[in-house]
This record gives sequence, structure tokens and C-alpha cells, in this order.
Amino acid sequence: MKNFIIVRFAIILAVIFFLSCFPVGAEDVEKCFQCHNKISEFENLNSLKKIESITSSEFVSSMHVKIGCTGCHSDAIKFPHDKKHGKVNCSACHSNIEEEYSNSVHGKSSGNGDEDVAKCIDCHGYHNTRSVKDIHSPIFPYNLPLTCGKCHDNTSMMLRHRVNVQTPYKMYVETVHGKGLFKAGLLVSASCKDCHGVHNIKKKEDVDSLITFNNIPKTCGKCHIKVLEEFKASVHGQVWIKGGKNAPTCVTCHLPHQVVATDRKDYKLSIIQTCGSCHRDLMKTYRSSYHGKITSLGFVEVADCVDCHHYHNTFPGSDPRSITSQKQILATCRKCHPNATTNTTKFLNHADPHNRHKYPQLFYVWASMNLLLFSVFTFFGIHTVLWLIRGLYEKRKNGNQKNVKSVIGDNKEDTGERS
Amino acid sequence: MVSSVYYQRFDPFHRFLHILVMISFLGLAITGLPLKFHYTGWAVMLANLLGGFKSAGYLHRLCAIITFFYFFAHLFSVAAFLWKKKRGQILRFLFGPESPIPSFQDFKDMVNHIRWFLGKGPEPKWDFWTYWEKFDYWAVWWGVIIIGLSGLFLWFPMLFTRYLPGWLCNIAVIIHSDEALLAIGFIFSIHFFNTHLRPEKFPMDTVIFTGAITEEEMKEERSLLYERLKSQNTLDKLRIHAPLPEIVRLYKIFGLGALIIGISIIITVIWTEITIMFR
Repeated sequence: MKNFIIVRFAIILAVIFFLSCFPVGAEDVEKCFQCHNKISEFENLNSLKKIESITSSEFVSSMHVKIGCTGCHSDAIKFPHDKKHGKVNCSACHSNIEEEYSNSVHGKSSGNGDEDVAKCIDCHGYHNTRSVKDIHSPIFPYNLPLTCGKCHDNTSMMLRHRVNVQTPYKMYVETVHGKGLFKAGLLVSASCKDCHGVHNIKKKEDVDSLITFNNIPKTCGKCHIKVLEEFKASVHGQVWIKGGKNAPTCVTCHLPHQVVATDRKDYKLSIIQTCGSCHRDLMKTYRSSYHGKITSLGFVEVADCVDCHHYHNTFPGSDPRSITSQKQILATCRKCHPNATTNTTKFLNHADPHNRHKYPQLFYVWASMNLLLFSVFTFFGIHTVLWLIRGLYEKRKNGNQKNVKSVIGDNKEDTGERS
Repeated sequence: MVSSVYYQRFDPFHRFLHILVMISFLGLAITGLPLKFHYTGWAVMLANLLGGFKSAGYLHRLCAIITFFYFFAHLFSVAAFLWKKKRGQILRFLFGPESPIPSFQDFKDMVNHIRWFLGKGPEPKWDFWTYWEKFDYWAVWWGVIIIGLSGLFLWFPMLFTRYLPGWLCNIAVIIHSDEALLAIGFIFSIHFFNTHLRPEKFPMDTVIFTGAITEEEMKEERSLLYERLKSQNTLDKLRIHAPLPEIVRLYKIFGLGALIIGISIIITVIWTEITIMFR
């Protein structure tokens, strides 16, 4: 009996002694910091390239303090630990995220041995991992774009990995979303994560990517709900829904890293080119109208494509939902011309005077005017040339005498009758 | 040297109207061309130089008002002139040598003039009006009416479309734009040649500003006029003082300024039209 108690006690002591050799849980932090808090002496202990120094405040305020150092550095449990130890494996706890990540473009590259590509610690940090809700976290919405930008604005790195987008962070800062986030502090403003995802980032060409042609409207539509509804009903949206590729989606008109306020002058002028890239003939006929000429000169105070055709809820003119339909066109003109009448709407927008079949009255007016100009200039052109030749001949014949006309005012004796 | 004797060919009112024509015409051309050639770089620069499209539009319409003014001023002056004459005198005037109305004689003159160009006949003799001057005169009537009416349509589209169909605006644009091109093309090349660049006149004929021609000139250039007035004994009535050399210099500067602007415009337009063909 006595022996049993002693043995049990000894076992307990042994366990305690045993356990005290292994720093585990929060208490282990202090043990590890006996060495790892001193920068100078143990600088060569920092085997990972990016580590600066481990300060206690850094780690203690991080999310992982509860699991201490060995929660991640599981091969350092023995105290003192071996000199060499392996990389930390986040998937030990975060296995579902690891799975998502391994299918992402970053994960696949990393799996292929790419050292540059973003891994867990590049976005989350390592000793200072904080919650996404923590304002100091590199993944806090306010900070996330810069975190992505650390690599994606590095032009030489992007060139190496054949990523075509130039300095997206710098561009993003100037966008409507960027300004909403950084200037107005609107955390809900779309940033990298909202369009590209976080752990599931895929290339645009990848069918599961959030930014494919098929998915982009839905991605934007997460926030721009009403716009998505309007777009789906529109003639462009219908093409997109049915899988057709020759219709614009959000990014056709709103360049994703250059989304600007739509009332900006340069945007308004560029949208004409955007619409015109598909609707070539309509842009040409627009350009020959007064509105089109004014915008061509660089002024925006007149109607452009979207003023008459709207933007997300575009319909063909034959559709009664279109604002250029018979029923709605007068109201559309009246947006700028309040005194417009039904007769005014009989103005032929996008008329092409060169098209004899569609616009005969315009064609014949145009043709007659051209004929008039041609005849007048041809006749008088020849007349003038012949006169010039004869005039020069006369001048040479008369020995280049001074013209009678040109002496007026030159002859100082030309005082005339002054009585 | 015997001092020259000067006769009046154009009275002050006509000379004033012609200055208005010059100023408004150049103004209309400068403010209108950026719109017609909106796709060129020079049009963008000019539009901005004019203060933007609204400002250019206001200036364009201001010049249009001046145009309507001289048009009606001339119309009323002609009416008043004819009103003062007796019935028989009106017809005699309208079909006489001082009338701007084209006659068969003018057609004959033109044919003979071209013959002379080709060395196939003598140079015709001229009276008060030559055929090309009559053409210039009526071209302004035609131009102001056509360009003015279509322009009014474009200036007040809402007002006009209250009573007329909107597609007339489409037609108005074509007419206005093309007729204006004809006008500036004609004036800045052919009219300028007739009055400035002809070897006999080079560098310019100041009569339209001073109203005065010398006796020598009349004998030389308008022999029929000289003979006619001499035989009617009305020549001396037209005698005037010689224009002051300082005034003449001013007129020359003004005239040459207009010439330079006009020629710059026509060269730019021709250059643009040529380069379009190779776009």
C-alpha cells in the first residue's frame, strides 16, 4: 500500500518534471523569450529571411498567444531544441483553408516550388498575426490592399511571374473604391479580396475564378445588387446570361483597377470610345451629329451615349423599356431640351447622309451640295489659273511696270485737290 | 508728276457694309470651322482658344446677327434707292450698266475674257461692274439666305420644330455646313485672287475701303465706264479728295490682316481635307 502511494506520487512528480522540461501553452512563451527576445546575441537564430526581431509585445498581442511558441513550432518542444527545425505548417490547425489555398493560383505556384509567391505568413504575418477585425492587422480591410501591393506593385517581380496588371495598388488608390476606403474610411468599399477572393484566388482564365466573364457581374453584384438586376434584364445582360461572349460586362465599361466616378470628364469622353468599340457605325454617325462633334472637341456638356441610351438597363429602341423608344424618347430629349416637342423627336439621330437607301432625302441634299461645290470650284479654279497665267504674261510683256493701283498712297505728291 | 485725280466708286455706306461683311464673315469662319473639323487637333486648340464650345457658339451667333444686319441694311438701302427713282428710271437702272443684275453682255464678257486668257482675243473692256464682281455680289445674297436660314434652324431648333418636322434639322446641318464650306473656300481663294492676288492688283486693291480710284486707273481698267461718264458729263460729279496716305496705310494693314487670316484658314482646310483622304 505504501509503495503504491509513493509510486503514484513519483509518477506525478515525474510527469510534472517531465512537463516542465517542455515549454507548452502560454507559459512556454517566457521560456522561449529567455533567448529569442535578445536581438543581438541570437540574430543568427533567425533562419527565416524575413524575421526582424521577436518582441514580446508583438507576440503577446497576437491571436496565437494562447497556443504559445510551440503551438506552431512543434519541433521545438524539447528544451533546448535542436538547432535545425522545419518550416511551420499552418494547416495543422487551418486545414480547410490550406485546401482552398492549394487550389488557388498562389498555392499552385507555391506547390511548384515558387519562393516569391504569397504564402500564409506573407499576408497574415507570423509572430504578430492578428484578427481580420484588428485595425493593426495587415489583412484588416484598410490595410489589405497595401499587403497585396507589396508584391503586386513590385514590377520586376510581376514581370518574372508574367502578371500583366501594372501596379494595381497604386491604381486602386485612385479608384472610386480606393477613395471610398482610404479617404472616406468606408470599410465596405470593394478591395482586392472582394473581387479576387482571399484563399481561393484564381486566374481570370480559370473557370472557377471570381473574375471570369461569367462570374464578374455576380462578383460586382454582391454589393451592386440593383445594378446586377438592371443589367440582367438589359439587352447586354441577356446576351451574358445566355452565355454569349460579345456583350459587355461590368469590367468592359468600368476598368476594374481604374474604376472612376462616372461624372468625371475624362470618363464621360472615354465611354463614347467604349460603346463605339462594338457599335462602330453608331459611333460614326454620332460623331457627325452636333453632340458628337462637341464631345469630339473634348467638351462634355452635351448628350453622349449614356444620356440617351442609359447604361445598365440598355434596350433596343424597339423595346418599350428603352428610353429611346417611341413612348419614352420625348422625355429623354426633354432631359436637356425642356422645350422639345413631338416634332423635335422626328430628328433623325444617327442619320447617315451617305446612305441613299436609308436616308434618301438626306442623301440627295448632300449629293447636290457636293455637286454645287465641285462645279463652282472646278469652273472658277480653272478660270483663276488661266487668269493668273495671262496676268503674269502681261506683266512680263509690260516690262514689270508698277501697277497703277498700288501707287495710291505711295506717291507722296498724290495730295489731290484739297481746296 | 501731275497729282492724280480721284473719283468715287463706292460710297461710305457701301464701304462700311463691306467692312461688316469682312468682320462677320471671318468671325463666322473662325468660330464655325472647329465644329466642322472637330476631329483635328487644330480644331480642339481653336475651340479652346475661343473659350470653349459655348463661347464659340455665342461669338458665332453674334457674327450671324451682324450678317443679318448688313443684309437687311443693304436690302432697305436698295429699296430706298429705287423708291426715290421714278418708274421708268427704275427699269433703266436695273438693266443699265450700273446694275448688278447679270445680263447677256456679262456672259459675252466672260467668254471673251477666257478667250483672252488663252490668247485668242483682246482683253475685254469693263464698265462699272465686271461679271466676276456681279457673281461675288449675288453669291453673298445666296450664301446669307441659305446659310442664314439653315443657321436659324440650328440656332432655334425647339422653336422651329414646334411647327416643322425634326428631320429638317438634319437637312439644315448638311446645307449649313456644306454651303459655309463653299463660301469660305470661294472667298478665301477666288475672291482673294480677284481683289488681291491678281498680278495687276497685287498686293491689294484698296478701292473697297477708300472708295477711290484714280483717273488713270479708270481709263486703264474701266474704260467703258470712263467713256460713258465722260460723254454724259457726270464724271466730275464723282470727283473726290485723294485719300490720306495714313488712312490708306491703315486700310492696307486691315486688308492684309484679313487676307492672312483667310489664307491661313483655307490652307488649313485644304490640308485637312487632303489628309482625310489618306486616313
